[in-house]
Amino acid sequence: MAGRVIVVTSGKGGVGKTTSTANIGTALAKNGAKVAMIDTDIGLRNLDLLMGLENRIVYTIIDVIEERCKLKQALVKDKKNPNLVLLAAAQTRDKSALSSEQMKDICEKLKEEFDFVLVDCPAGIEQGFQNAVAGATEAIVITTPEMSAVRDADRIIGLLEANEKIESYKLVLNRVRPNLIKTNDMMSVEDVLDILSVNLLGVIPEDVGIITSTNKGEPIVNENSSKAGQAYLNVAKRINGEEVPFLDLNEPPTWIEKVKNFFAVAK
Amino acid sequence: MTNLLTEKNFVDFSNCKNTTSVLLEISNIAEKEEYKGQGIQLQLGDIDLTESHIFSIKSILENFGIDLMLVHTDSPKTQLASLKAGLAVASKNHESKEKDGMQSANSDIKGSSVQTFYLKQTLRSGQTIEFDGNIVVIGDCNPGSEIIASGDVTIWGILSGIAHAGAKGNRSASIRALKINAIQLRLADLYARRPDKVHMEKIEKPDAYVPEEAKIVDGEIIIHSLNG
Repeated sequence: MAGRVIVVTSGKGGVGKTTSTANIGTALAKNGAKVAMIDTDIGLRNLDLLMGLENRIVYTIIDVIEERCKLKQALVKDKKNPNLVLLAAAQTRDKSALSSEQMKDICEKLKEEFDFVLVDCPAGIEQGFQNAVAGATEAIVITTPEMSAVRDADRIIGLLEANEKIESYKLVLNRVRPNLIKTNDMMSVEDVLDILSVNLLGVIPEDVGIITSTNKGEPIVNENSSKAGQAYLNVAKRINGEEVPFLDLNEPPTWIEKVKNFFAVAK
Repeated sequence: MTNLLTEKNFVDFSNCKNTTSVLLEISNIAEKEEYKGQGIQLQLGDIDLTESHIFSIKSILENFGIDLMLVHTDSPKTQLASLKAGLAVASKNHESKEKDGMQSANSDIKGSSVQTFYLKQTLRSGQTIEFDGNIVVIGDCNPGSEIIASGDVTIWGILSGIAHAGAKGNRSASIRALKINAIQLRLADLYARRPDKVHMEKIEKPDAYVPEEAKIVDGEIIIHSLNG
């Protein structure tokens, strides 16, 4: 059975494409699937850092297309999960080193062996984006509840709709802060969905744990106590077709709020 | 991993005597169908080019769908300009090739004809130097940079990128730096990687560095300090 090729994209930079790719990939592999992740951000690669695999990379995707090594040799196994592999981008070249045709070819080969092929897309809508999308049939659009990120996500969705090969695309809303939404200082999940009118795949709360996990090279889904990690695990389950309710992101009320609530009721 | 001095899609411009003729030749190359969608290597000989020349060469080629992979040059000016433009640089050591085919990369031996590429700048992520001979860098080599030499690699600074000494198989080559914090060390056909628990971002900055050297002992890469 051929696997699914899913591109993770956003348009805007810094909204969490790479973090999401690392976590969704790890979560899918935890559920027992065979997963390959491809970093297509040539020249500005990061996925290997987030996975803590930087020191293991010998061959990159460019070495594969320029036939200095076989595809299998370039797949770096994850430290914990042997079902998870990474095909790294080259750091010393740029986007023009890869063509859409070559990318398609690599995706075709990988999906014969893996249940999921996750493609980490670079920011922007140029060659790098075209390459990343070339082999995919599904897309995950990452955005944050900010006007600029939503605007760029809208542009990307337009491009994905125009692409005949993309059969479905879903949204992951990242870095959501329930406290700000409560005070009307941040767009709510509903606001974003109203603008973009797409199906929601997950809502990831803002989590300082992401920073430490990035620095450690250890995806946050491996930490059981993290809400963001839990949210990514749920995203992976939904990708597998399970119905999982969305997390309750509201923080438990602080004692001041409790006291306030008490008096509010007393009145 | 880039192969040192492969001959694939090699275009020789060493006959060009001035910048105009180089640019002219470049447009000729660009129009040829045979290189379309591929990467090429340019031999620029000893001609001096500035950074803006290199950038225009790169963009002309890019417009025609050609990727400039590697610049071979014997001019230090061009080497620096290409490096700044983010290109991989290689330099052939013609002399030693004719003589003894690079048998010894040990620069201590008197009369050795191995040449040394000397670079005085910080090597940043994505920057690569390839040289058929020894490489000396005065400055740090940041994570994501690559240094590939057929001889020794010496860094007067912190080595945090990838270094490959003895890239053509010389097992007596070594890598020296004021601090070796490399992601990977490659010596001849061997490779060693940094332990997973060491974090690059937390490099200790002592008042005085104790220089370190990596070399092959009994078929294994070891790092030892060079004090005393």
